[in-house]
Amino acid sequence: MSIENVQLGAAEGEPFFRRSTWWSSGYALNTLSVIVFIATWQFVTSAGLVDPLFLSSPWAIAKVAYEQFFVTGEIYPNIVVSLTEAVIGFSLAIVFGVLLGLVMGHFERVRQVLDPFVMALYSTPSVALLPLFILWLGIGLWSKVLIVFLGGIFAILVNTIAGVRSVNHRLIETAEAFTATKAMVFFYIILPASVPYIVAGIRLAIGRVLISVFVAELYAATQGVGYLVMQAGATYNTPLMLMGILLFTITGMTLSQALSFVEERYLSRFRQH
Amino acid sequence: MILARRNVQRRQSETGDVRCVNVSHWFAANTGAPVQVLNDVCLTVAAHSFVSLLGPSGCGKTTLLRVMHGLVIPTKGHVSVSDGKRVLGPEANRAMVFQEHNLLPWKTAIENLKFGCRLIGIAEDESHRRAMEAIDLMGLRGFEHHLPSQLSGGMKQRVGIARALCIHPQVLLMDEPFGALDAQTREVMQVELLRLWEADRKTVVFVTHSIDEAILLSDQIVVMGTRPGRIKTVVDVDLPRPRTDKMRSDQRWAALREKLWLLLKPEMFEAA
Repeated sequence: MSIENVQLGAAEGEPFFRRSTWWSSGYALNTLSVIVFIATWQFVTSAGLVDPLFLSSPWAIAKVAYEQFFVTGEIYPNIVVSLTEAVIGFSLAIVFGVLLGLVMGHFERVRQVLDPFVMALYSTPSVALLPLFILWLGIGLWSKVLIVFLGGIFAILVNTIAGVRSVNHRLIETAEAFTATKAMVFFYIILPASVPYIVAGIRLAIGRVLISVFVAELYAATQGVGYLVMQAGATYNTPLMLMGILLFTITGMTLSQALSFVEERYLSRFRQH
Repeated sequence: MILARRNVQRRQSETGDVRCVNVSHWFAANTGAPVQVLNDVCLTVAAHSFVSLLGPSGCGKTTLLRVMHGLVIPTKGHVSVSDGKRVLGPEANRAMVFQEHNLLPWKTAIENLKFGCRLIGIAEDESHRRAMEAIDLMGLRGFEHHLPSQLSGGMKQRVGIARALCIHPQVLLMDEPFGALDAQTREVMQVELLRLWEADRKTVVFVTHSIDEAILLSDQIVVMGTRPGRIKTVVDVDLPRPRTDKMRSDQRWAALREKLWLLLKPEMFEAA
């Protein structure tokens, strides 16, 4: 048999790839599972299988949301209050978490001095400090900002420290071999190499920030989405309560997706290979 | 700006020879006494020559190379480069190629090349010109915008060598640059390195534990022994230049190989 007679599977024409169909893509299944879930939920509630006090139907929640957003507009001041707490607290947590993390990761002595306090605060549930912060700062915005800040900062701080400390030492040495100064090593090697860890820390912090906003508003608040949820619960307004919870869910998912987008679009080359 | 660096003009008189004078070095040990890694190494590498440091693992050949570069300051003795300039730390007249390519994973090939230039204080447009030149020289055309993770092992090491060449060093220090490559790629890279070296004959100090690699490339082979690391002898390679792969079948190659193996054998068995 001569070699010319040997036939390979896709010898002629285009190389063969399996076409991806609409139902085999991830998005289609995602959407489908959500639709099935909501439909089942609607069926269970409208068929009267559960008491509407315990679980409202998706339709009832949608109706409440429509009223809140487009008829009475009562929701907006609550959103503004919660968002202000979250944005200020989260921003401060990112800025100080990253800066302090870089310093603590880079300077052994600073880490040794601050480590006991970081560990202590990291281990203390920050919402337990709320009564104290209300004594210090009153029941207004700033006691809640402080709780959100403390809730978010440690995930970022601890991750940044880990990032700085796990930088491949050979890269540092290579920069030194090319006569890099300490500042150059820090800005050109250590900082970029820590980026994936910093992003991971921020991602972890999203959940903690939302928890902090919610819990801070359960206690001594007069406005906010968390406050709204609690009030709705106290007055047996289950649809309003579920709508409030859903707002937290949507905020968390949006932030997480936005972070993924930024990471994919601008920071993908910093990922560990 | 703390990240800027003055571009220091190099003296024209610099020749590129390397002299090690009574270099001894100890590493601090976690327990017990410090471990001696180099014992009284005296070695002169003539300018424009290709010298290999050959020995088993643990003979201190990498440490000696680092001492020459200035990454390690020896406990005793000193190194001087280019007519007696004492080595006190890394300088731009010497460049290092590492065994692990050590490229920044977040920078593309060309960015890695320019990065080396930037660190020694070369302006952006000049860095770019040098990087493009090195890319052509090392056959990296078409791969300049690839990240290291998108390059093969051989390509990565080409970028590693190009990065060293970009700073236009007088002395090229190479620490087992082909040690992590597969056998075929390794032979291709050896021939590439020969071609490169023939073009401008920089001083090269090349660490290896392969006898054949040392014979193919070097003018002189420094055979090192272990515990503590020391120079056993220096062997001249009397094969003509330019070298080619075909010389492997030469009588002199075989004789040299035999001689080096006999020198290394006791050390190898001790190290193993």
